[in-house]
Amino acid sequence: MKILGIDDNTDINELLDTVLNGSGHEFTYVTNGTEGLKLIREKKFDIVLLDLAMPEFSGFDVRNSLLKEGLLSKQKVILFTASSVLDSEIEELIKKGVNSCIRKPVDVDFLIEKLEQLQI
Amino acid sequence: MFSLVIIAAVLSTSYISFKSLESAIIDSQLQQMGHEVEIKANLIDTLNSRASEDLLFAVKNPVFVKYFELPDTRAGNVYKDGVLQFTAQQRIVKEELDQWIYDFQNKFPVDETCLVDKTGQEQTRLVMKSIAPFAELSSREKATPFFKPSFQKNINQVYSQYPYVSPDTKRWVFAYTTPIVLSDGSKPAFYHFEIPLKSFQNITQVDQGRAYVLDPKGYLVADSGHIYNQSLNSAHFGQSPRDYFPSISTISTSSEFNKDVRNIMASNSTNTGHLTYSVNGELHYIVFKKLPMFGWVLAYEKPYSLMMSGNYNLQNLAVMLFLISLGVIAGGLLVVYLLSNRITRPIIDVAKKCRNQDVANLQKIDPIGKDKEINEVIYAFNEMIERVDAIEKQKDEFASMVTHELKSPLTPIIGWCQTLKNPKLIGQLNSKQLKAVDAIQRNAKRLQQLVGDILDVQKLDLNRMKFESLPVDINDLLNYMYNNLQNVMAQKNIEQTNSTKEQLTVKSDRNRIEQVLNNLILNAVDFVPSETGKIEYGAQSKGADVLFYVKDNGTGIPPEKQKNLFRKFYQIDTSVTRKHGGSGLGLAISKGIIESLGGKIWIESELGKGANFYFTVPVDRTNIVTSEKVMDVEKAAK
Repeated sequence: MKILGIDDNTDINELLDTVLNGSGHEFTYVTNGTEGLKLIREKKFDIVLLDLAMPEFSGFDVRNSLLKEGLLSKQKVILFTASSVLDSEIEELIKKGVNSCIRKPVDVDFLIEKLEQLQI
Repeated sequence: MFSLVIIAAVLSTSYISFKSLESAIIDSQLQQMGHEVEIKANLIDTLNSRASEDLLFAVKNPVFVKYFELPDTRAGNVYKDGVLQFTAQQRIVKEELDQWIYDFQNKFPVDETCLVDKTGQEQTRLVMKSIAPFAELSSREKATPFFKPSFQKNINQVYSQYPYVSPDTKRWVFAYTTPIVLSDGSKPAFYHFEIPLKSFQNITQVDQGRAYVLDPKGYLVADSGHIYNQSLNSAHFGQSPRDYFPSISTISTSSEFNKDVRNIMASNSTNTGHLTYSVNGELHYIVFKKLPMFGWVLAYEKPYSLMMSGNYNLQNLAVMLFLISLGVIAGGLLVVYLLSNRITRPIIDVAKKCRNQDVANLQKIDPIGKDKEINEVIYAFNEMIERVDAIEKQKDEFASMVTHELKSPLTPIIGWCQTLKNPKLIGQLNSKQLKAVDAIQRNAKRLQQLVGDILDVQKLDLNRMKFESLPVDINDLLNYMYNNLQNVMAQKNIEQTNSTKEQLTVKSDRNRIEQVLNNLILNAVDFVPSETGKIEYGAQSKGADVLFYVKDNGTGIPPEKQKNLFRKFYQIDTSVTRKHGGSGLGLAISKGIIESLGGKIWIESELGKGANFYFTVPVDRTNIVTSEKVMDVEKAAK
C-alpha cells in the first residue's frame, strides 16, 4: 500500500523507507508538514504516518489543514509521536477523525503489523 | 515565662515601695527619738545646773561667812564626850544659818544638805528636812569622796560628785559642793547638797522602748528598763556601783554594739546619732547623745516592731500592696493566658500543621480564627506552598519532557537494529556483525525500559496516568501471558503454572493489569534458581475483588526489607539489579497502578521459602473512587 511519512527525523524516515519498502509497500516521506500537506493534496495515499512534534508546521497543523480542506478522510491518518503529547489530547484527536496513534519508540515488526491491520 | 516576669516585676515593685516607705517611717521615728533624747538631755542638764545654781545662790547668804568669822568658830571645835559643843555666840548665828538652810531646802528637792569644815566636822546638817541634833553631827566627813575636791574649788564654783551612797540616807545620790570663802580668801568649810539619783533616773522614763544612760565603766546609771531600789537605807555607804547598777551587757553582749558605744564615748561630739544592732533576728535602733557629765551617754532604743507599731499606714499599705500585687499578678497571668490563647496556641497549631505536611502533597492551611497576624503567617505559608507547587510542576514538566525526548532517538536505534537483523531487507550480516547489533539492540531496549518506567512513575506521581474501564477477560489475559512467557521460562528452564480455576472478568484496564503481572512474574524469574525454579500465578474471586497471585520458590525476602520493597528505586541487592536489568521502579509502578485501579498489593515471604506477591483488582473499577477521580472531582468543583 501507499504510505506517506511526515517526520522531521530523517533517521526514522530512512528506517521506515528501508523496512516498509522492503516489506512490499510503497513508502514516501517528507521532513516537514507543509510539504506533506502538498503531497496529500496532489496524490492518493492509503496511510499517512504523521509526527506531531515538528518545528514550524506541526502534525497538529497538518491535521487541522486536512480537516479544513476536507482531506482528512481521503486516507487513514496515524499519529506517530514520542513528544510530550498527553493521552487526552491524542484521544481528542482520535475522536475527531484521526485513525490511530502509535507511540515512539516502536517495534518495527509491530508497526508493520499495525499498518497491515488498518488496511483491512 | 511571661508569667514569671510579671510576678517578679510586680513583687519587686511592691517590695521596693514597701521598703522605701519602711525606711521613711524609720527615718521619721529616729528623728522623733532624737527629739526625745534632746529633751531628756536638756532635762538632765537643767537638773544639774539648777542644783549648782541653787547651791551657789544659797551660799551667797552672808550668814555662812558670818558664822565662820565668829571668834568662837575661828577658835576651833570644842568637843565634850566626842560631841561638838557650840558657844552661845555660835548658837545664835547657827540658828539663823539653820533657818536659812531649812527654808532653802524646802524650795528644792534636796535629800540632805550639810556644812563641813576643814577638820571634816559637820557644823550643821539637814536630812530629809529635819535638822540633825548636835550629837549626831559627824566629825569624819574627811572620808567623803568630795572632801578634798570641794576645797580645791573657788568661790562661785561647784564640784559635782559622781554618784555615791550617802552615809546618812543610805541611798545613791549626786553631791554638789562649793567652798565657803571668807574675806581673807580662806576656805574654812564647804557647803554640800545631795540630790537623789532618783530625780535623775526619773528623767529617763519613756512610754515606749527603753532609755538609759551608759557609764564609761560599763554601767547603766539610769535605765527605764531596770527598777532601781531608791528607797532610803536601801544601800550601804561605800557600795560599789557594780553591785547597784546593771551592766551594759544587759542591753547587748555583741562586740559590735560594745565597739559602737566605746566609739561614741571616745568622741567629743555631743550631737545625737544613731546605731543599730540585732537581737534574735530583730533590728534594734538606738538614738544616743553624749552628756556633759562623767562621760555619760544618754540612749533611747526601740526594736523594729516598736518602730513600726502605731504606723497603721504602713501596715495598711503592706496589706494594700499585697492585694494590689495579687491583683496585678492575676491580671498579668490572665493577659498571658489570653495572649497564649490568641497568639502562642495558634502559632503552635500552625507549626504542627506545617510539620505534618505530606511533602509529596503539600496542602494549604485554612485560616485560624480572626487573628490577622496568625493568618498572615498562614497566608505566607500558603503562598510558599503555591510557589513550591509551581516549581514542582515545572520540574515535573521538565522531567517529563526530557524523558520524552530521550525516547525519540530510541525509535531509529531499535528499528535499525531490527532491520539489520532482517536479511530480507538489507542483506545478511556475518556473525560478528550480528553480535554487535544484538548488543546495541539489547542495551537500547534496556534504555527503552528505563525511560518507560520513569515515565510511568512520573505519570503516577502527577496523577496523569489514564486508565481504561473496559471488560477484561482474565482467563484470556493469563493464557496470553503464559504463551508470551514461554520463551523466557525456557531460557532458565523454569516451571510456570497458571493455576486459575474460575472464569473471571473485571471491568478495568487490561494493559495495566498485564504490566503489573508481567513485572511480578519477571521479578520472580530473576529470583528463582535455574532448572529447579517454579513460578505459579493466577487469579481467584474474592468478594468484590479479584485476587491475583504470583508465587515463586526463590530466595524469598526478609521481613525487614518487605516494607521498603514498594518504594521507588528500592532494590534488595543492587548487584541483582545489574544482573537482571531492573530499573528499581517496577514494584513502585505496580503499587501505583494497582492503587489507582482501586486495589491493594502486598507480599508474604520468608527468607529461603520463596515470595508470594498478591494484588487485588475491583471487579468493577467504575464503582471505585480512586484518588485520581477525587482529584478530578476537586478540579471540576473549582
